[in-house]
Amino acid sequence: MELKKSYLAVAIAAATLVGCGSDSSDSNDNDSNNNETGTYSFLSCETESQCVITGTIDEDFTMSSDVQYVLDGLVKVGYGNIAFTSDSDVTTAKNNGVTLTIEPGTDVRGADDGVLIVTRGSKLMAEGTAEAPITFSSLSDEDFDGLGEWGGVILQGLATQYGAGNTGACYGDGSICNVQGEGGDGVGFYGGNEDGDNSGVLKYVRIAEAGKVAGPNNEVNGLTLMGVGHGTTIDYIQVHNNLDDGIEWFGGTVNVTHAVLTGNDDDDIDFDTGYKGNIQYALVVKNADLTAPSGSNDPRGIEANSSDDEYVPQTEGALANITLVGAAVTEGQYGMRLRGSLTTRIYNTAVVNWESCIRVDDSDTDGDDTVDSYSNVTLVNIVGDCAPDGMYTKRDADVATNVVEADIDLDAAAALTSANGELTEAPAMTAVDNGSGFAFDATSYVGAVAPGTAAADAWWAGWVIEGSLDNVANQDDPATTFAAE
Amino acid sequence: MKPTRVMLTAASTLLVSQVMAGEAVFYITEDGMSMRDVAVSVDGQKQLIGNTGFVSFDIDAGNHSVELSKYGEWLGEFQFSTENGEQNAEIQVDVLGGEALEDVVVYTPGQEEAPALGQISGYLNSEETGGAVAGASVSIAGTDMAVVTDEEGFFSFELPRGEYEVAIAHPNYGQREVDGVRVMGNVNTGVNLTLGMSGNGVIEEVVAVGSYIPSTATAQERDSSAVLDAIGSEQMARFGDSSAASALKRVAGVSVAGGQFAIIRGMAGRYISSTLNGSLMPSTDPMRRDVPLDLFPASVLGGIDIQKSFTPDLPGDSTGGAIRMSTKGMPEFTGGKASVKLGMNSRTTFSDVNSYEGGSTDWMGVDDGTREEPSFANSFTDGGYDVPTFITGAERVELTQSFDHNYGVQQVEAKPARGFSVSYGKLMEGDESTHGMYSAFSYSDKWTARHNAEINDTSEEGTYERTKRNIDLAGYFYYGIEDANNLWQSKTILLRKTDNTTKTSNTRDEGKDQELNQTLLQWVERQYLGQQFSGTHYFGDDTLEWRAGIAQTSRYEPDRRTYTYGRALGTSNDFAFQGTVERRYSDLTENTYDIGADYTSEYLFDTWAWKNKFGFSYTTKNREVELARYANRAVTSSSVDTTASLDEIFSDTNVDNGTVTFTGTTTATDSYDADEEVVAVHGSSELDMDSVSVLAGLRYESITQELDYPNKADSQNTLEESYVLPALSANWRVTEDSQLRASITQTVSRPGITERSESVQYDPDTDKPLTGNADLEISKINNLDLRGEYYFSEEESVTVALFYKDVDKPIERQVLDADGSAAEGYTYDNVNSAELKGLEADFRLNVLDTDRLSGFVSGNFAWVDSEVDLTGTNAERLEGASSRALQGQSEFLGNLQLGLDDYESGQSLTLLVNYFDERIYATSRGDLGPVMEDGRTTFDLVYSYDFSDDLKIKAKASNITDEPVTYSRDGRTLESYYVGTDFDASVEYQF
Repeated sequence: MELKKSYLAVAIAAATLVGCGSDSSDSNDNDSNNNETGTYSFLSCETESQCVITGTIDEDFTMSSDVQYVLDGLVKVGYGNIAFTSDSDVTTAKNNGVTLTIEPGTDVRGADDGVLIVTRGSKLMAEGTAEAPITFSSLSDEDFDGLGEWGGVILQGLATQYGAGNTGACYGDGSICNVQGEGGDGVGFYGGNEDGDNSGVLKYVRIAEAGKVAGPNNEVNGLTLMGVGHGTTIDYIQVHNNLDDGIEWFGGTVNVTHAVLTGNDDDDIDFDTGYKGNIQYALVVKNADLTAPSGSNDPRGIEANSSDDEYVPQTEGALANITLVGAAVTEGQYGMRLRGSLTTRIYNTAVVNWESCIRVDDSDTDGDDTVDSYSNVTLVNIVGDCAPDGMYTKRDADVATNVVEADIDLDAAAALTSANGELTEAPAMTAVDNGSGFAFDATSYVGAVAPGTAAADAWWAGWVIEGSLDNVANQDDPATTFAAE
Repeated sequence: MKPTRVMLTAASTLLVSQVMAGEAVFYITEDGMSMRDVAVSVDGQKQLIGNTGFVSFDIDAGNHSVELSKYGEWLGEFQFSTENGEQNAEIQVDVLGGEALEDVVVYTPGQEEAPALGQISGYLNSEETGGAVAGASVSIAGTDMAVVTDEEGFFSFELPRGEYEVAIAHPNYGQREVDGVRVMGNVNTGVNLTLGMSGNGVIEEVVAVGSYIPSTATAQERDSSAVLDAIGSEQMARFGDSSAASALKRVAGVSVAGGQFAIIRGMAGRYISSTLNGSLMPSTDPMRRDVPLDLFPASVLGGIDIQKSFTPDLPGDSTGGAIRMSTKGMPEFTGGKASVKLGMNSRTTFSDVNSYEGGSTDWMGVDDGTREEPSFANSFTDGGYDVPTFITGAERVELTQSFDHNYGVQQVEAKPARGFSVSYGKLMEGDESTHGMYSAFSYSDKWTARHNAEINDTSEEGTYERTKRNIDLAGYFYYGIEDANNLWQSKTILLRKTDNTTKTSNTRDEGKDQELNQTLLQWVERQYLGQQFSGTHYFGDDTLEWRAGIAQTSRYEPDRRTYTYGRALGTSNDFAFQGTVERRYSDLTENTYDIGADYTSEYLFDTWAWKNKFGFSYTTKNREVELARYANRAVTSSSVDTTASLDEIFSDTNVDNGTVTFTGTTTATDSYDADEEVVAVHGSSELDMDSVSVLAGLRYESITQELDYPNKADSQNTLEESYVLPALSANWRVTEDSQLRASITQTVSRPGITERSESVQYDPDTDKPLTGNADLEISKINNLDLRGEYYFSEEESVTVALFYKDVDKPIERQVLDADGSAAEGYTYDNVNSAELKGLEADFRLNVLDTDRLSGFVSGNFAWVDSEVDLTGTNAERLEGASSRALQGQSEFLGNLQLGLDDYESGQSLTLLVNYFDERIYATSRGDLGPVMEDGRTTFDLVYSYDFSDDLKIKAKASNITDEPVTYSRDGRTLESYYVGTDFDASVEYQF
């Protein structure tokens, strides 16, 4: 364990240095592009308007909106992704946590191998505004059309992860937890037993063209939330044209609201391994121009848990006001695939243009071809417009209230224009009690956007990537290419 | 079979063929070594001493004068006298510095109180294989003395002076008699014989190489303290085993995993040490330390010892056993051999199998540069690791253009297996010394394929086809110089093994709702190149052995291509290219420098012998792995039809206009450097007290392991530790034909060099992520061994061994806390403890013995029970079990051989049966049981016909029943395939 200790020692030393030169971060805020590169080992600026970040951001740092920052290789915030062996390692990591602040309107670019990882104990403060959202995209071009042109953003926290195969909380009988994350050799470890952990704020943040990192078949999510606690705020987030999932939660408790997930090649909302949380207002729109996934992907709107022997009965998600819009690329796929003995409640949600709206799977946990453990799915106010297979594949929900198959029409705001979009009253929506005290907004409509909203007034309007939702009104008819087999 | 020395103490009770008249026997040595071509004249009668080293004269009573000369040159003269006609004289003359010093013993046969003792000892070698003949029975006619030759073909007797007839019997080599072997007091008569399988007969010539020994006690006491098994080259030849890997599985308690890696007594890789000619072996496998044994062809191997109990002269990690391979040594005669081999497989040969376009020298097992990493790509992206941050579109096109885009799989007809080998040995016997050289070269080209391969896992089912073309090349050169007290040897070894693999699979993935077609094109060249010098020097009773070697192993895997096409499950759409085609270039080089020496000294007290052995070894290994990955960026242009073939998607047009582009995807931990240094000093002392011998010793080892990632400076890991390992063993020769051995020893098991990585690394074989554990510790093992041997006739024996091992903190490969694709990988951890117990039995029985025919049944059986304690570990939580068997351990292992020899026509037939019981292939997570490699029985039949003295025909049918190879979990077959039956025939010509 010598090396880990030395990491921590470095982190402590770095923190101490920062503490001594207390004006360094302030001066950086003011003119980070102005001859400041010498003070940060991870920063190099060729010009006044472009700086390259490499290695570990080991002291508090602010990205300024008048500079384009290039993530070159795996960029880590803090040293919290090494394996912890004791509670004091956890305390040390928190005490020495690093905060990366990104100013509204900042343009962050990933090189081919660029990835941003915010490790345990550290924070990402990315608070954009509707007028000046923060954008992560690829360095290789100025558009947002590509897929997998850089890595993505990974947040790692100290909240609980439950292992596949019902192996329980990763800390077992103790309190220390080190979960190896996916996404390559530098991802390292995350997890713990602090469900209220805070990894910062992501607000009005757009992540585009990400999803590929080094290594064999290593596709990663636009935004990966690994054991992220509910102290973290994620609101108004877009993941566009990601080669893998839009947002994937591995365990953790962080709630997400106002998500726009467009053109992603794999799933859009993917929660797994004991995620306990709530998601409200999410708009998922698949790329209408593709006929097959570009990556090794199986695109679904919502994918919860993994199949059979990888079941995690602790996974529990409550979702409300979700609109899932498929395309030709989703042939053979489901708007939602709910499996692995999860518990989920889904409210006021529309599913259109998938081969089948919802597939519910129970778990054969020991490979003997018989079901040993069941998923628990509650659906309230679901409108589905899926062909040829209709609402359900495999089996119906355990509890279904007002689940209807009907023609769905969307307008330019991505709101339902058909009569079934409006509800007579807002249903009671039970949030997952993950300690955050989250309560759903009461909504008396189906879908992510209230019917009747003008496109310019929709909650997504103005800050999402330009053009990324332009075509949504034309994607509400089941693709004729989904031939029945 | 362990050298079996049946103690010969009751010499006075033996019947000896006595010489009736007065006789003077002369034995002339020069500096202790038998001297030839000496003319001895007694009372005017003259005789020349020939190869036997002896000459005798009839003498009457009175004074006798002796004159010695060589090639007419006077050597010396002296006189002696006998009192009457009954008296004999034994006269030893040692010519020292040109002066003849005589030692005359006059005695009356039958009237001595304690007849003086001498020795007969020697080595048996095979004419066919050039190697040692182990397991031959050697007996002295007219006595009940018999021994079995050891793995070096050595035998030895201690006998009262006289003339004897030595009888040799071996099931393959038949019977031989050697008449008129002289034993003089204090003289060791050497009887070195080369046996051919060509029939029985009397051997005309005995070459005496023995030396004058100053004492009657055994000077050639063999190391009998260890539990040892050996495979001589004659056994490999008889069983038709083509490499070390196939030969090893014939040994009790040994099985071989994946045709490459030995498992001894249920203990895999990390519990086994391997040496070649005494030097520690480098591996060609980037993820392992143990040596793939299929690399060592029978054509260069002289023999393999598997010593299952630790002695201080072995590497400290010899827990399950030590595999000691030796290459061929001094040739027995001048001559050569050439053989050609042709083979076919019942399923593969002449059937259509997968292949792809390669290079023009593929047939030699050498890539001609077709698969070489494009130099532009390498230099522009630093081996795929560091694509320039501000790469331009034009540079992306240039990078993509630097690759030759060739991905298609073709069907070709599998050709029959072909091979040839030539060897030539030359023995140059001079007056002072003997020089010998031996060289061998072999080539083989063989196609193998898995047939009807099926996958039926919980979420994935389907079929695959895998074809491999194996091209093997071996070259060997030996030069040795031997004189009375010294042996100098040089061994140069080149071994190459090339596998060209094409694998295509079609699977239906329930989890992904997709049907996938996956393709792998892989070319792997493995090579071992070694030069070793060694020497053995005798100083009276003491022996000094030393060695110095340099070896380089390499594994070159250029342009491994993998890609996937898929479509929605249940549709008949065209398959579309999904994800990326990865092109990977990897190159491993490991250099090993090894020096070592052992000094053995012996002190004799009456009937006791005290033997001491000291030695040291120093080994340093440096491994460099360079790996580069490149893959296309996602294909997003709607102008590209992804249902077209890859060759069309990566057409010149699409590449040139930048529609499809490649980028580097090498990870920071793909390339690594690893250094290992082992310094060892050992000493042991053995006291031989008539029927009981006791050995006690210590081994000190100091090891340093260092792992470095050139692209990841903060992940360096170093392990430094030293320890002392004690060993105590005893050997009790209960009766003349039975003995008991017991030992208690301590050994270690070290983490593999990549297992202590601070980072994730990708297993180059499976692409699964391996998460290192920097906290891995060395585990300590206490070993207890008990073995009994009973020889109920000259050739028949039963051996039973019991063992118990207690492993503290064993390192186990296990599933880990991980998510997503990382959860498909594995890690290593020290778990609490493991306990192994086992029983092994070995037997050999002659079931038929006529003048013409002989038949034998031999076999072995092993039962091993192991339990790994996982209580309180991560493994317990993740596997859902608090204990299980050691990975790779089969409960039962067995071998049976039935042999039939027709001496007259020179034909022999051997049926071989090998069985291994199911063993854990990989542990599983959650509710699933571990994945098991299912037990399997294979039957081989080997026929050999000595057509004439120079021509020999051999045929072998292997895997006759063609049982499927299967893997299963909780009784569900996950994977199965057939490999077919091999029929090989070879013709060997000797010149």
